[in-house]
Amino acid sequence: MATHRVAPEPRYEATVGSVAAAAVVVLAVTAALLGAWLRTDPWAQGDPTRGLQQLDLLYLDEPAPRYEELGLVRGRPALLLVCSACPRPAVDAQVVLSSDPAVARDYGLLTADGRVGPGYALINERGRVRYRTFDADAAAHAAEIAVLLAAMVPS
Amino acid sequence: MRRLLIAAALALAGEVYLALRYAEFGALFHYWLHGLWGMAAGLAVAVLWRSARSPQTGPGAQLVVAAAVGRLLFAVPDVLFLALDTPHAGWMDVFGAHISLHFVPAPVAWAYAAFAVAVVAAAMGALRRRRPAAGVAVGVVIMLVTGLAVRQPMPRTLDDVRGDSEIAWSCTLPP
Repeated sequence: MATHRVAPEPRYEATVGSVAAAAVVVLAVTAALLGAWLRTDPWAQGDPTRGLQQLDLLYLDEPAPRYEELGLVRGRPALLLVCSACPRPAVDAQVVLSSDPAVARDYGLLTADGRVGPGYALINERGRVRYRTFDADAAAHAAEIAVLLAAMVPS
Repeated sequence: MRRLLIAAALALAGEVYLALRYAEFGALFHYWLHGLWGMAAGLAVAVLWRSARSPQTGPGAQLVVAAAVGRLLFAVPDVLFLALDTPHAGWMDVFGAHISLHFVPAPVAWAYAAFAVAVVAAAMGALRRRRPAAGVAVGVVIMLVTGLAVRQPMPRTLDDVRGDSEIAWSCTLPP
């Protein structure tokens, strides 16, 4: 029986220089992209509570402050926009806009330096607030808001 | 080397796609948070695995694939949101502490620090310094556990939200 010697798989050899260069490039490019985001994204610059911003989790369930005062009626979910001037997203819900600092304060959308939003709150058909978030451009995020509104509808 | 280049090209293309999708929602914060932690975790697991197995093949492609898999695993809830209109829920912490990571102090800075430690571990592993590499990789796990241990609790009421020092409870309202 013929025997064959199997050649061992070649061992890789990496040099300190090449590995260090690769690691530095990866970290530097990542840091540069991260820095560019921090400098240019309005959210990165303006949001005081980033962890809560656009969390997309219905983490609240309590009576919505100033519900009647805002002109909302039970039986249909509502989107409360809290901002000084912002376009309304096209969603299937009651949509009201408030720039009142007192409303913003009640919904946790008034910053310590007195800025009103921009952000929004979602209120279910029973008048309970389920979600609030800062959002620099809610009108552009209608699809995201629609997902959350749909999740509030009782099955 | 060819496997490494193919894996890197695919991973890079995936990253570009994900970044564009997150940007569409104005949510690049989440892209960075889950991306950096996911890649850090993937790299750490790959370094530990290679330290235990002592493979003879080069680590490049394995590390890239591990980072990509970790990155995807940590972002599963966001993929579910984008693909299936599924809002986030507390149980989604099973995907790399997806919810809790939002409440780690300085979340993106902490994530980048963990990623940097993981890259150092991977570099040491590539140079066959297996035990030190494994030690540094364990550091990533310690950073994750520490961050989660000191995270802020998730608010459950508007009072909790207003209790944040940077939100309006401290603001003097106009009359």
